[in-house]
This record gives sequence, C-alpha cells and structure tokens, in this order.
Amino acid sequence: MSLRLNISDEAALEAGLRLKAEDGIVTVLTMGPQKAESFLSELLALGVDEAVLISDEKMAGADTYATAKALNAAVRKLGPYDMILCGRRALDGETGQIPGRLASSLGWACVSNVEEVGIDNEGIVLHRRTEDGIEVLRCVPPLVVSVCEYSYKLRLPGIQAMRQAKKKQAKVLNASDLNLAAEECGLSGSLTRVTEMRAIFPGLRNCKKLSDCKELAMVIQAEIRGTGNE
Amino acid sequence: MISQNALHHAEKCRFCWMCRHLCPIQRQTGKEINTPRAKGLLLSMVNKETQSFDKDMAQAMYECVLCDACTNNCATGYQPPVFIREARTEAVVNDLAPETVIRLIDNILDTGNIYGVEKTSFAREGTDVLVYIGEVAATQVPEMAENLLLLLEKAGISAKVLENEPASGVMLGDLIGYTEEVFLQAKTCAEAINKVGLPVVVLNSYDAEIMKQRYPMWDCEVKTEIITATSYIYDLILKERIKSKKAKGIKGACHDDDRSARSFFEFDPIRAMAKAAGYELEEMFSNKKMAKSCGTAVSKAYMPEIISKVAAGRWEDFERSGCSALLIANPEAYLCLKESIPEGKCLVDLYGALL
Amino acid sequence: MNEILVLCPFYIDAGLVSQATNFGSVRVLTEARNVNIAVKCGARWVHCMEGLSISDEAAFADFLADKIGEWKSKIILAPAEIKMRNIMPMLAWRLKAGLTADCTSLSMKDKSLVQVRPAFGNSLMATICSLSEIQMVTVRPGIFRERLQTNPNVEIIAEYYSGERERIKRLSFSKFIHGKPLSQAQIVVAGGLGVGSKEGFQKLSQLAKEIGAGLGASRMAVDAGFAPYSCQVGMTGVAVCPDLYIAVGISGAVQHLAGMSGSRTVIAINSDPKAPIFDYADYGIVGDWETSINNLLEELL
Repeated sequence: MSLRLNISDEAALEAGLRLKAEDGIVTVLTMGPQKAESFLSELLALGVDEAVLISDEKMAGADTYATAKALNAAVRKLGPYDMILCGRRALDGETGQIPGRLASSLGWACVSNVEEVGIDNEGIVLHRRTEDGIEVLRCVPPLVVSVCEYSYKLRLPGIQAMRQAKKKQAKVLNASDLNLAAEECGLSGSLTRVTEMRAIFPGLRNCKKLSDCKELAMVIQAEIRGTGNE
Repeated sequence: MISQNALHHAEKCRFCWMCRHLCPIQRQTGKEINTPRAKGLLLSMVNKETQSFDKDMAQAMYECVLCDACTNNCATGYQPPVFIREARTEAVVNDLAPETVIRLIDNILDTGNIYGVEKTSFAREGTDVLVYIGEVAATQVPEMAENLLLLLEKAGISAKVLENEPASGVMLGDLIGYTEEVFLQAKTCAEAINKVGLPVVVLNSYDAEIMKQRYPMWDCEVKTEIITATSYIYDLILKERIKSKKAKGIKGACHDDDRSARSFFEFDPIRAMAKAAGYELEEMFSNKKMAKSCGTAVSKAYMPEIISKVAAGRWEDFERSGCSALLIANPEAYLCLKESIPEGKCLVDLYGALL
Repeated sequence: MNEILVLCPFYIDAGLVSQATNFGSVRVLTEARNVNIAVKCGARWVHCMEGLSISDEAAFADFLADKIGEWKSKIILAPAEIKMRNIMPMLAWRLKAGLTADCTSLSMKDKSLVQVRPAFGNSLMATICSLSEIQMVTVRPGIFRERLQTNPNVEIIAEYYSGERERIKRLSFSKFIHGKPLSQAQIVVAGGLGVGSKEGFQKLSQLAKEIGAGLGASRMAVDAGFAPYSCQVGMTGVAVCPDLYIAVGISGAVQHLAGMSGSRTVIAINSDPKAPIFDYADYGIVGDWETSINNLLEELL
C-alpha cells in the first residue's frame, strides 16, 4: 500500500486549512511506519503548522481500539485543540471507526460524514450528509468531525512554501513518548484479531451472454416480479 | 520530496521497454536517461537514498516534452508525466533546474509569458463566442490566430477576444509542475473567462487541456463550455457554414498534436478540415492516439537543439507517407515544424487553408 | 442461550434481526414505527422508542452504554448505515469492546461471533474475532434475507431518551428528493465513463424511472462530471446490494466492484467484450449501450 493522504483525509486537511485562514493553527497527526515521515513533511508546505507522526514497531497490527488509544495520548500531549478533523475513512481498512472512538476517548461529541465546515460568531456549523438528506448542525467545541471525500479539494503547495518547508521537519512520537506500555500497543493492545485472510473475490460469477434486448427485458421483468434466481 | 503518489507511478515499471521505443526524445538523442523508464528509476533511487537528486538528474527531468505517449502505451497503466512534473517542482525548489529553464520561469513571472515579449493584441468585441488565442500563437505564430479569426468571421461568427489575455498556466505547469503559482494563473484566467460568460473556443489544445482537465480539480472551473478550435470549426463545416474547396487535390497528411491526440482523443476534426480544404488525405506513420510529438513551444524555448531534432524526426515520418503537405491546426506544432521544412514539402496551417 | 442485541434506532434491517435469531434470543431497540417488523422477524424483546430525535450521537451513545449495562448484552449488532456507523465506535469505546465494521457474513462458533468482512477494496475477505468480553459488529444493510417467525413470548418495552445531555442542535434538514437512498434501492441502474455524457445519464435515469430503480455511477463517470457524487457506487462512494444491478458502460474497476458485488443479480452492458465487469455479471450484453437501452426501453414499455 502506498503511503499517502487518501481523498477523504485530503478533504479534511483542506477544511482545516481554510478554518486556519480565519484564525488558528493546524497540526497534522498520523500514525504509521517511519516511512510516512517524508510524506508528512510534504504537508508542511501547504500551511500546516506542525506535522506529527506516531510511529513505533510495537504499534504494528493495531486495530481501531489500539489506534484510538495512541491518538488519544498524542492529542492530550500536543493539545489542547478545539476541533479534530479526520477523513471519514481510510482506504485500506475503511472501517471509519477512528473518529468515533477518538471522540469518545476524549469525551467529545462526534459528527460524521460532514461536507461543509463553517464557523460563525455563535460557533461551528456543519453540513452533514445522511442517506436521506443534509442536516445542518450547530456545535460547540471541542468536537471531532469526519469529512467526506470530494467535499474540499486540497490546495497546491507554492514553490516558496516548499523551500521553507525543507527547513522544517515532522515530529515523531513513539510509544514511550506517549507513556504507552507495550501491552497497550499494536496487536497486543487490540480487541479484535484477524484469524484468516482469503484472497477470493466474492463477486465472480458465470456470465451468460444474451443475444438481444428481448431476452434482457425478460430477465429484468422476472427480477422485478421477484422470480429471478435466488 | 517526491510525493508517494508520484513514486507509485515511478516504481510500478515492469521493464517492458515499450516507452523506450515511443519516447520522441529518446529516439532523437539516443540517451538511455531519456526514457520515461530511466527517469522513473532515477527517482526511485533517490527515494531509496542510493542516489542524490542533483543538477544532472534535474537536467534529465527537463529532457521530456510531456507528450504522454509513454502513458498511452504503458502496460501497467502508469503515468510518467506525473512523476516527471513533480521532479521538476523538486528541481526548482532546490535551485537545481537548468539555467535555460530558470530564465523562462523568470520571464513568466515578470511578463506573463515565457518569451518575455509583448503579445500581438487580437482584442475585439463579439457576442457569439470568446476566442482564447494563447501565448504561443499570440507571440510566435500570430498568422494562425489571424486565420482562425478571419475564418470565424467568414462563417458569420461574432468572436470576442480579451484585451489582456491572461496565461492559462499550461506553460508554467510544464516548467515547474502543478504548484500554487500555476493555480494562481489558472484562477486569474478562469475568472477573466467567466466574466465574459460566452462559450470559449480555444486555439491551442494545450491551453484547452489544462482548462478542461485541471481547472475543475483545482476548484477554478470555467463555467461555460470549452471547445477546441478544431472541433468548433469541424462543427461549422458539418453545418456547411464553412464552404468546402474541392479544387486542389494535393496529397496531405495530418499531424495530431500531443494533447488533441491523448488528452481529448480528438482525431476527426483536423481530418475533416483537411478534406474541406481540398486535400487528398493519407495517414502518416504513428498517427492519432499513437501520434509522435514534434516538440512543444515551451520545450523548444529551453532546449532548441533537441526540439529541432525531434521536429526533424517528425518530418521523416511524414516523408515516408509520400505526401507533399503536412497539415497542422496547432500553433505549438506549427512553431516546432516550420523550421525544418524539407525541400519540396510544405507545412500548411489548416485555418488558413480553409479561408 | 446467547442473547443478541440488535440496535436499529434509525433504520431497521429486517434481515439482520432474522439472522440474529440463529444465534440466540434477540433484543431489538427500535423506533415505534418499526416495532412490528422486529416482532415479525422473531425478536424476543423489543425496546420501543417513541418520537426519537437525536442530534448529538455521542450523547445517544452514552445513553445506549448505560442501557447495555442494564441489559448485560454481550453481542451487539447494528446495520452499517451512516448514523450507526458513527455511534457504534463511540459505544465500543465506552464498552471497551472490539468492533468490526461492515460485515457481510456472520456465524457463531461456541460463544464467539465469527465476523467476515471485505478488506482492501474487496480483494480480500478477512475473518475477524473479538477478544473483548463484548463483541460488536456493524453489518452491511440488506445482506441477510428477511424470515418471518414471530416469537410467541415476545415482549414490547417502552424506552425514553430525553436528549438532555446533547451538545449539538439540528438547525435544519433538507431531504433528498429521490425516494429511497441508493444504498437501499432494490434495483440500481448505473453508468460508467462509457455512457459518455450528462445527456447519456439522462437516458439512464429514464430507464431507472421506468423500472423503479435508483441511479448509480462509477467514479470515472462522476469525475468526468456526468453524474453527481451522490450517485457514486464503489469503494469511495455508496455500497449497494440490490436485487438487480444493471451496469451500463462500466468497465468494472476493482474499486467499483467493491461497491456492488453484493448485488443478487448483475447485468452488464458494455461494448468491450473483454471488460472485467462481465466476470462479475450474471447476464451480459456486448454492444453499444445506447442502442441496447433504446431497445430495452421499447421492450419494457
């Protein structure tokens, strides 16, 4: 898997940078192998004030519980923050659990699937997409928000900013920096265990090629009546 | 600091060597470093810290016309221009870009165009369409812009052209990669076009490509329709607003420019234009999607010797077709090819040919 | 006997309630209007919530955590719709429980719930077990079939959520005009880059209207501006599992397949006979999509 921002993280970061334009500082926090450091420092050229990587071999194989625990420790160490923006899901596992778990661990509220993050003089206004409509929510900090992909397009870095970013570096935190014991980290700190991985695509089917649309119409009509193949 | 995304493109090469045969620069220079494959390898070596990104490497990254022929034929579906553009950004950030390139960047930032000269003004008021001339035609091939405008006038189209036409950003994007500076040019250009509110007919497919395919990704869309000049003229031919000239019967072959060929897959319009102008059409070696580049205006500006060879290479392809007229509707291609016209052959601007 | 808690405060997944009865006695928490569905599908206890209004899902998760403490539930299931996907992780943290998201298959081995979910864009199926005392799972909606089987001992219990700890206020809600959300549509007509234009998608939506289907699109088609993002089916869009999925001009990229492979019947229409989508379809037509759709509309009208 290549280490990069996934599209929903990109949207979350852009939302954060736009809020920063009004007032504030933006910290990017992620967890992953040491290799992720170089990609984190790329973000410094976008106007991110601080980039922090949680990285420790002990943390390999962490499930969402152990990951949230580590992120919680880092947020407490680096904070205080008013808002934590996350992509709504990662591309590999796409579990979408981190925002909720992190919020709960901090005792904060959490709004998922957000398309628009705004601030007015009364607080935070979020537009949140659900299956059947868009909710407009008024919230008070502190708050965790998970942002939908495509809702914001990440800006491009400028040459000057990239030159300046060369002088800065991402900060790396390990388990002991976060006062986490080995048994709280990674696989041993996890509450779920993957017992089997099968590389079988479940969707493979035997395709029957139809010669004309008459046949196709019959198949569709049978499906609509509910008499298709079970 | 090449992004992981770009490295992903660089590292998925499986050494099929296809791009090596297709690269117009490699074919003329014969240098192994001038293949997309080699450039990808270099960057992955930088990533593995077995090689440092130095001036020579930066030089190599600029010896490419970003024609995308390699992408079009890559068996693993990767896009060398993605990492080559980023490598150029890296070169500029670290002050490693070749002198000739830096001069062009300075020219753009000072005067808005790479040539650092005043542009011929084509400004006029009109109500049907906005014609975007682009800096290559406006400074290097003004006759092509004139011909297009005359042709539209003859067809009864009332065309508007902006007074101080902003750069589309395509040249800067080729020189420094897609950065905030390019975005700012794009934004200014999109705003100027949106203020007019007419459909835009774009003379240079390079400008059309960045407007159509990049602007939306950067949230600075052109709100009206963007039409390449070639497809707009094609439409006018179909509507019989431009009359065919069946007289000549000269044998000609069309050159598909890089972006029309591989960004728009647009092949019919120039051929229809050529037929309408009365040419008897043949196809030359490597055409349509497989079209070989003859160089670009920006690459010609910083490496004229290499681009002369590339253009000569394209003329060789043409000569094998047995035709006498090489037919063109793109100002960049015209600029590159007009220098080395072989004896007995001619280079034809299709807009002019239709007048 | 195991006891299974199924949380359906917003949307009831009848198939999930039915499936849960295979593992033990089922306790369902749901809104008043859905009580009869829970009863029909074999719930033993139905906790009924009248006029439920939730803006702060974290506060509701706290409420649920307290209730679960009373009920002493050890296995907790919920449909993976947007709100429960937000609430379950918060609840899991409160209960110190492992949580597997978006499962497509469940079974019981001794006291342990065997959870299967697709990973890495459906190229792998992962089998997961919880190590915590409480086991939690969200299940892809519509994946299990509904089975009617009323439990003769069913009890209905009223519950009340005051919402007094809520920190978030809902200012407005604009409902989408289309009836059902795409993820719950029984038939989906989806178009890809091959459809070629916005106008092409209008034709597809005509077909969709004709057969009562939802309109979907591949990521490429959405990127090209042919259809809005809300139509996007796939890894980065909506996952659908309708009875019938009609893929028009879609080549079948892995990331698209990830969003529709749960469909019961798949029909593919594509001009390229080698398009991967045909490997994942039950029926296929090789040919121009527009001609096929025109002919099809004629046949169906």
